[in-house]
Amino acid sequence: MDILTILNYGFIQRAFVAGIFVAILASLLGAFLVLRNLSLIGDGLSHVSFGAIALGLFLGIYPMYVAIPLVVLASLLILKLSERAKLYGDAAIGIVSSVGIAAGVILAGISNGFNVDLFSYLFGNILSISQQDVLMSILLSGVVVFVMLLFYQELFSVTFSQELARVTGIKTGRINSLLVVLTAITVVLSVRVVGIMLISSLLILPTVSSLQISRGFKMTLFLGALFAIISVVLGIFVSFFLNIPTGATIVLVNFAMFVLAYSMKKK
Amino acid sequence: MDNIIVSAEKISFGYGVVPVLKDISFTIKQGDFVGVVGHNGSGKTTLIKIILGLLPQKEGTVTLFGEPGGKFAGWEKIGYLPQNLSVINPLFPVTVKEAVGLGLLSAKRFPKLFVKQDREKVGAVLADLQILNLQNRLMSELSGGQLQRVMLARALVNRPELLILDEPTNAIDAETRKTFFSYIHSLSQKNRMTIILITHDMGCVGEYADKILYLDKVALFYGSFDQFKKSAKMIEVFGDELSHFISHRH
Repeated sequence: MDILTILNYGFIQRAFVAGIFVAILASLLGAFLVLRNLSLIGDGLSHVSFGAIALGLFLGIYPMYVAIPLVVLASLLILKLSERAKLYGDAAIGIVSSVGIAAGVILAGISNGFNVDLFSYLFGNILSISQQDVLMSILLSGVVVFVMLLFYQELFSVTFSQELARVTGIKTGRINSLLVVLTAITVVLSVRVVGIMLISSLLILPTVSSLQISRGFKMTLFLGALFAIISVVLGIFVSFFLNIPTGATIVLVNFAMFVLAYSMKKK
Repeated sequence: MDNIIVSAEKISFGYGVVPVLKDISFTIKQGDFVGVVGHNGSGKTTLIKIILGLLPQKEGTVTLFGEPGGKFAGWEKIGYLPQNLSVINPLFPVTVKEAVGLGLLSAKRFPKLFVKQDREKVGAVLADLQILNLQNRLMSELSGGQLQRVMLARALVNRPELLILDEPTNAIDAETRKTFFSYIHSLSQKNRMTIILITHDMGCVGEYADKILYLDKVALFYGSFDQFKKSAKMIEVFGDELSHFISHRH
């Protein structure tokens, strides 16, 4: 079977569309997170999305409808815990993430009926993505990228230096809230692509690869998005031909690109 | 009458029960070049951070350009060069022109889009500071002196009315320091730019500042250079060293 033939399959087309949209989104947002030492917030929020998806399955509601508001709330809670309760950022992430996992495990335990579905969210299955998932990915990715473009300079400034951003009149608290809310939405969208366990790779790896060779902030964003697209496209093809899990293949292609970029880095 | 640029009245601040500043009052007028001096831990940087709203103002009042500190919105009038540049992540992948361009955000309304004139302003300030050749270099590749100039360019790109410099020459050699202060002094002279210079280097204050605020948790002295050199309190603090500062004066 050649490459053009597999492109005719509806499930492959849906995987490409949703995967590319989410990958671009995650890589753009990931640049702001990585450069602010907030890489692990994606990991923490993905654990919360586990609990939220379990709740959706438990209640018989489309899981994304439950996950998006709950994960957004969790992201703001992490921010407030680290700001107001004076917790270290990673401790706040740890608290919220473990509560999310605990809630998911308890719901799975008392329901008995949806463990198989929940498993597919844990490791993702982009090839089984539905039309509804694709539409949701396109719509929300479009909204998040549009908001990021509107606030690009503020996000850039706060990432460069919060102190200097405040002295240019930027309300850094609002921008931080915006960043975590956009991250929460991105994490939920990424669940179907790589699964809860591997989401941080979509947020972190393209940016880290890009940082090895980029010569400026805009170039970091551009190269990160490019690496993300390549990883999704190659990951889907390779996993299809080798009959191996797609989410994990996308992550490993991403890692291979990081190794390549690192080896190209001027020492 | 000269415009009042900064006014502070009875500012006190502490971390927990540890007092850092107590009852600090002063007024800075347009065109003043004020040296804020004192030994390490005397509260110089804390004072500036309170003025800029970077630390909460617990006691006292601050006004900037006549507006209460908490409500101040004219940030394009202020250029700020932070201490030691430690606020910047050295691994951040930012070019010189990108970093300087961020200084323009204070003058922009939402959505803060960059246009051709903004790029020209960045080019002009880099040319003024003779670092146009660095515009496409990464910040992480610059020497201490070059980095200092880039951050000064960032602070000056909006042509501010008030320039605040916090220990600006800590990481640079004596020759570059001289050029740096000479340029700052020319800004104060030519453009009537108001300058607040925080330093523990009394020599450069003696050479350039026309007002001095001497801090040691309280304001031990605030006044003109002439008053400073005659102040009994300052003679008591500095002894023979006071004449050394005066000798820097041209």
